[in-house]
Amino acid sequence: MRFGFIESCHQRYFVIDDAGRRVPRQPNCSTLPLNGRKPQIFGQRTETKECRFRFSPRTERIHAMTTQEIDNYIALVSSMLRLNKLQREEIGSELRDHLATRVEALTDAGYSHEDAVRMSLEEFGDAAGLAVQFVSVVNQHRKRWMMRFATFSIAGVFCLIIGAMAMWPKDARFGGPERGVAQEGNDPFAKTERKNDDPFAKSKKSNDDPFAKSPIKKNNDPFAKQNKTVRRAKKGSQENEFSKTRKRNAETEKVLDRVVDLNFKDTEFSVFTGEIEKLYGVQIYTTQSAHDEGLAKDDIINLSFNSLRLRTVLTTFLDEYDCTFIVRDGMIVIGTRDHCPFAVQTFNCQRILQLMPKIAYVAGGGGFGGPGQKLRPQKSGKESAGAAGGGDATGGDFSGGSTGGGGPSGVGGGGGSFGGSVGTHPLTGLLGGGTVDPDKQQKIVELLERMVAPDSWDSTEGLGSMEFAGEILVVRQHGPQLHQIGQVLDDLQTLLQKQYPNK
Amino acid sequence: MSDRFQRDLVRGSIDLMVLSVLADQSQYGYLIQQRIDQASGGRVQLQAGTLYPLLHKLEKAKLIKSRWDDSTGRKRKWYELTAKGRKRLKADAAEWKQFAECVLGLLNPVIKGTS
Repeated sequence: MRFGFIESCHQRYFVIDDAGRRVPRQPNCSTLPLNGRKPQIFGQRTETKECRFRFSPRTERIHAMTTQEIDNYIALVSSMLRLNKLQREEIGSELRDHLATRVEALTDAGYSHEDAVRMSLEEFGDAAGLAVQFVSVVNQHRKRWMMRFATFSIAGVFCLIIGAMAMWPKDARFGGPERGVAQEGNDPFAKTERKNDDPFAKSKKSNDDPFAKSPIKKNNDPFAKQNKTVRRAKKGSQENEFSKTRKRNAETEKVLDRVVDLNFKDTEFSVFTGEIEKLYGVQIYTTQSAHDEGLAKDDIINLSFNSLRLRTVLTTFLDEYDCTFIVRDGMIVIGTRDHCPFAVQTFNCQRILQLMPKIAYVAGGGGFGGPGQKLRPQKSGKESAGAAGGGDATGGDFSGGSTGGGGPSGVGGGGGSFGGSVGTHPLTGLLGGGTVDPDKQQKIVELLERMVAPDSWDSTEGLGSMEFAGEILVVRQHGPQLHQIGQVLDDLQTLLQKQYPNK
Repeated sequence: MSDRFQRDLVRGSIDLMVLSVLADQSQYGYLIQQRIDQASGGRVQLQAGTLYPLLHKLEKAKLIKSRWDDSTGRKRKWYELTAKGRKRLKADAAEWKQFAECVLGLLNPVIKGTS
């Protein structure tokens, strides 16, 4: 037998057992008024009436069983909640409170404790379903946070990109590197500036010089910016070295562009170079290979040039001895063609590539042009049948004219929009309309290899080479050839700009 | 007329009903259930298995907040409206009123015909 207390408040009765826990009143409890008997009151009457009662053995068993059922249910729900321990405990406590309250209400309504528990549990429904609902609430919340996090992350990255773009050097996205010469060999500072003053050119210092207006001379190319960044990082000495080298090279190039009168008769080569050094303030170094293969120090030379640029004089004179020269760190280096150090120079071809027409096909040519053929079919694989009487050339190819009609079966040459009149010039094909594509780069390379020192390129087993890096043409050659290349590109750009003044 | 409203009719308004019950004072789950039951004359019987996940959802959305209380000898969780919940309740109630009027306007001829 166990003794407890009955608490009555607002006509609701609770049983408080020995452990102080509230236990729903049982209809079959012999001490409760439901059985028609008043509870046995102990102590003074107050608002809260208390009385001692006795649970019958059967009631105790029923209470134990039903309480166990609730515990089992809550344990089952908790076990299926994929949440942390605290969350599980809180949900369990809340459900337990609800079930207990509901059981009390039902027992108050006259149901047996056993039935009240069963009904309460039924109202909650399937434990698994309930657990799923709780978990889905938490998961939805988690997903929402993840979405917010992802959104803010993306927005943050976007803002960073925008910020970076805003902070980016103004002209860094466009333009090419300024032209300069990097010397082959160990000297990292050896660079020179190329000038537009080929003695064979007509008028290179005129105001319509395309390169004078080209982005090359503007401070807007990525390489130049990159160089600037490097210089900023290294700050002091290297910056000075680069600028000094560049300055020295520029000064020597100026000297080479000077119009001179040179008359030497029965003069030793060493005396000749010494005189040049004295007269123009430049250093001249002759490599051992040059001495060994034709220009010994004591070789007697005779030359007479008037009103020519020093560059032209040297080029012409050295040609006779199969020699050439480059400018390195302000010094003129003379060597044989095979052993003279090479210089690497970059040329910005952005404008030329923009102006060049799309090179699609070589016209069948003239009036009997057969099927046109692309000059590099291995790349695009495109072919087009040239229409009779002019083909379908939309610009042709600059090699088309010079080779007498590009297509294998083309007769009459003169492809492109300019027909035969201009098509005989190797540049003709460039003067059509079109857009920039990789083929244009190839065509420029082919043109230069064909026009400037044709035997000196790697394609003809020479040592010179040239390659495009984007819109920048990088050339490895001797000084005079580099100069000529610059000149050809000048010509090309001038022609294209005249052809397409509004492009 | 059936004893209970159709589930589809009730489904869209449970959130609003719970918020409205909490508008006056703090309540715990069982009381909320009883209040809704009484207010609807027993025609809306919100199951406990539906009510508690809903309360947790509203709490996660910061429309209601909760506190634990064990002064009665039993650990019990009480819910009350937050400022955000109150604002939402007002907005939703106004929208519901308009919606109900709209539906009523459409159904009036039918209702009169039936009566």
